[in-house]
Amino acid sequence: MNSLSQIKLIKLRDYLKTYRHFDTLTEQEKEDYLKKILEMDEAKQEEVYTWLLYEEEMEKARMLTKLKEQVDLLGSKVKLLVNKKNEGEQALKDKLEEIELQKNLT
Amino acid sequence: METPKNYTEQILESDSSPKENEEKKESPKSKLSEATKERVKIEREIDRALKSYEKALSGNFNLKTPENNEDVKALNLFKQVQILRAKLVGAKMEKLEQLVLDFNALNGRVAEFLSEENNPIEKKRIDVAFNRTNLQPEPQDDLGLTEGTKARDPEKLSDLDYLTLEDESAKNPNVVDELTDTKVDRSLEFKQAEEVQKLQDLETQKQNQVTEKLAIINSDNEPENAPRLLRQLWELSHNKMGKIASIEPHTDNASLVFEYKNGTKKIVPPSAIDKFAGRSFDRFEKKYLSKVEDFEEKVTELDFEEDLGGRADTSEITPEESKLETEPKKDDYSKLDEKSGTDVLKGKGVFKV
Repeated sequence: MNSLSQIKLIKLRDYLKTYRHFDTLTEQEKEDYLKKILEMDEAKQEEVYTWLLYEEEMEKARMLTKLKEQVDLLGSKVKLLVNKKNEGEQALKDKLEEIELQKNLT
Repeated sequence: METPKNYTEQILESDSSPKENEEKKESPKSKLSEATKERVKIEREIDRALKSYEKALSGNFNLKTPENNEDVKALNLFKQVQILRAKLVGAKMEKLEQLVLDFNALNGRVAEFLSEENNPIEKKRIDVAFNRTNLQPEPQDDLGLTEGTKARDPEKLSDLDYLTLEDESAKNPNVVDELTDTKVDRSLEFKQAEEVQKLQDLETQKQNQVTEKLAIINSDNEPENAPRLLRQLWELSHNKMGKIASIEPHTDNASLVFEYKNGTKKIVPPSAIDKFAGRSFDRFEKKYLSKVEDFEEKVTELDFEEDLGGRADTSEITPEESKLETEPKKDDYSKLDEKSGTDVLKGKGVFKV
């Protein structure tokens, strides 16, 4: 019985191959899992497939959270960069004004 | 969001729906929907953050036409952010893992860039910009701090303030660089920079004077009201045997290059031109142009301005010399060879400019 679409089937195979939870399984065991899924009724197969997508999304979310940490870090550096530039310009302006003022006084 | 229990595995092993799922009576679809929402939310947050970085960089730095090192680095960072943001759209797991590594690497590079901000070279750049204003920095106290610096929070010394500290290090070789915590001796570096600047200014000043004078010399109209030497140079330059091709300015020397019509060039120090007054060109050529080497040895002070006030050779022109004041002919050069006994075209003192 093979009620899952070809695309979903490929995704399942891919999932079994790549998902780290199955890393410890041999190729044969993975094939057995796939066989087991294919033997399920259609509703069950869909359910398994949905959970698969869910786990994939969760995994993505975890990775994105890690990425967000890096992006936030980059953001603080960009902010620092911009602030440094503005502070430098302001300091230069202040300095020039001070010197100009002193020149005028003398 | 917590790490989910591996429901798929549970299903595979038990042939039934996950217990947790049954307990919560949540359908896998609703869980998937929730997870997708969470994932999209984080993606959007990242995208928004990256866009704001791009905006901050483009708004504060000149990315279109970078003017300095800061702009170039900001532009590179801007491009990197753009690339990474593009990669993020619809990225799969493997790409996301790579993106985390890419961002990590980018953070490292930006950190390096930020540390360069406190680099002495960067401070020196500000120093140069400062010098261009022709304004003198305000007096510093023993610590190298100015009144303006002290008025601000001393904990927040800007690059400019570090600059004044660095100036102090030029005076005192044992000053400790606060950034590297090492003793530095930049006095030589600063002295050299000052010397180079002085020489460049002098060179520019000389060049401007020379350009101005050369314009007078090459003018078609005789400069009647110009200083005597300039008038002499004009006369020499309008001699039919050749012209003043250029004036070679040096820090302590300023020579003229006389170019014969056949292209041969000779260097003439202005002090020699001074003696040209009232003499025929032929005599001048024979006496001075053919003995360039002697001139170079004799000339010690060749400042162009001083030469303008030099004394002319007022010795009388002999009848023999006056005969030489004739229109130069085609074979003038060969005649000159006969008279001087030297080959002016191939002999010594022929300089290439």
